[in-house]
Amino acid sequence: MSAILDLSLQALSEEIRAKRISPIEAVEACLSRIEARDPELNSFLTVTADAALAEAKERTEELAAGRLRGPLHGVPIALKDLILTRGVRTTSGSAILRDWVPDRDAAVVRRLRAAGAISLGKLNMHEFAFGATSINPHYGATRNPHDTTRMTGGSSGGSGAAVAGKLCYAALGSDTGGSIRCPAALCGLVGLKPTYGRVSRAGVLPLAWSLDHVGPMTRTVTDAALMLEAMAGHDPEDGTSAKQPVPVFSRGLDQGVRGLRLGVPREFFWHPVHREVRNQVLAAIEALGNAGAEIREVSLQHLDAARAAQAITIFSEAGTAHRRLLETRSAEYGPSVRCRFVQGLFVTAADYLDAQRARRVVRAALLETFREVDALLTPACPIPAPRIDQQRVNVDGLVAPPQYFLVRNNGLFNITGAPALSVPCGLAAGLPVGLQIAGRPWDEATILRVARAVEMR
Amino acid sequence: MQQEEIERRLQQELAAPLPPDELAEVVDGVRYLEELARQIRGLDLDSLEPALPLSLEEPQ
Repeated sequence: MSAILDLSLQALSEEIRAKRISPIEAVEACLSRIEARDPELNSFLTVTADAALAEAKERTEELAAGRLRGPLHGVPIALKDLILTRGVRTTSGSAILRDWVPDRDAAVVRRLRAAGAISLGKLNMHEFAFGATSINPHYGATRNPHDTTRMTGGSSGGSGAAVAGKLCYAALGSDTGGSIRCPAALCGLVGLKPTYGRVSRAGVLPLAWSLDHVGPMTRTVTDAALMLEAMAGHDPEDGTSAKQPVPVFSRGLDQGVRGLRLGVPREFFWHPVHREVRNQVLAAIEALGNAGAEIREVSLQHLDAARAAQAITIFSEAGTAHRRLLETRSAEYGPSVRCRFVQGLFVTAADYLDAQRARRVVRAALLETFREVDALLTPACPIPAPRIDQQRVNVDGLVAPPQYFLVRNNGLFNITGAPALSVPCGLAAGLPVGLQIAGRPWDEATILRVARAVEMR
Repeated sequence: MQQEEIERRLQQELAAPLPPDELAEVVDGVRYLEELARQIRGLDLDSLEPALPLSLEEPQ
C-alpha cells in the first residue's frame, strides 16, 4: 500500500495506464492513509469515500473497455473547501457555511473530473481564506507532516498537509496573496499560482476577486504541469478568464536552463529572511547558474507601492465581498478573521482607486524588468514553518507574529497577475524551504522549466 | 479616522457589536490601511499613471 502512495502523480498515472495499478487500488490506498494519518494532520473537512470509490470503479471499467481519459485518469486528488462541489458541503473553513451544500460544481472541478481525476473530498483552510496560518477556529489547525507541532502555512493549509502527507496525489489551492505558495514552501511541495485569467474561478468562493487565483499543489514539478494542463483554458462563466492557448506544460520541462536569464531582485525579498532559508535559496540560485543560466541582479521599482496596493485591494475587496454576511451574521466569524473583513469596510473609494492606478504602475515596471530577464528568483517564504503555538518570530532582529512573514514575498505577483510558483530547494532547521520563481504573464512554461532544473539538481 | 466614527459605522455594518479588544484591533488596522493609502498618494500618480477621462470615441 505504501509503495502506491510513494509514487508521484505522474508515476501513478503510468502505472494506471499500464494496468499495473487500478484506480480502485489507488483510491483505497489514499482512503486508508487518510484514516490512519488525518486524525493528526486535520487536513480533510469532508471525505467523500463512497463517491470516490464509485468514480474509481467507473474509471477502472473505462480502462478495461480501452478508454483512457488522459494522464489524470483514476488519479485521487482533493479540493480546498472554497471550491464548490455539487452535493458535497463547501464550508470555506467557516462556521457560517458549515452545512452549505452547493447544487453545482466549480468549473475547475468539472474539468478535472472530465480529465479522469477522482476527488477524495474537501480540505481544511484558513477561515474564508483570509489568513496564512490555517489555524482554523472552527475546525482546528492543520498540521505540517514534516513536524506536526508546526504550521502548514495557508490559506491552503489542508491542501499542503494532504499532499505532503501523501493522502492524495495533488490538491487544488487558491492564492490571493500567497495562499498556494506559502503552504507549498512550508510543506515541501510545488505550488503554482498561474497567470491571472489562466484558470477559471467560476464556482470558487471569492476572497478578493481581482487577486484570486486557483492552482495546483503537488509533490513534483511534472505533476504540477499535468494538473495545470487539465485545469487551464478559457471559461465563459468567468468574466476574467482569458482566451489564451494552453500549452502542453509537461513537455519541455527537462530542457534545462542554459541560456535563460534569471533575475535576482536586490531589494525587499531578502530582508527579513531566516539565515538558513537565505542560504538554501542562494545555493539553489548558484546551482542554476552552474547549470548554464545567466544570473543577473535586478532592481524592481515601486515595491513599497506594490505592497500597499496589494493590502488595500485585498482588504477592500474582501470586506465588500462579505458585507452582507457581516450585516447579519458577524458573530459567527472567528475573531481574527472578522477583524480583517471589518477593516476592509473602511477603505475609501478614492484610496481603492488610487491603489488600482498604483497597480498599473507596478505592473508596467515588472513587465519592463521581464524584458531583461526570463524569470525572477526569490525566497518563497522568509521563514521555515513556525510552531502552531508560536506567537512571535525573530528574523534578522525583527520580532513579529508569524503572519507578518508568511506571505510577505508573494503579493507582488498577485497584484500584477504574473505566474509564480514555489519549488522545494532544501531544508532550514530540518524544515522545507521554497524557492519562488516568477515569470512573464502566460509563461508558466518557463517557470516550470526552471523549477524542474531545481528539482533535478 | 477617529475611533468614534469607526464605532458609529460598525453599528450600521455589523449584526453584533465587537468586543473591546477586537474594536481596538480594527481601529489599528484601519489606521494602517490609511497609512498605506498615504504611501500610494506619495507616488505622484498623476505623472506615472495619468487618470484619463473616459472617451466614447474610437482611437484614431
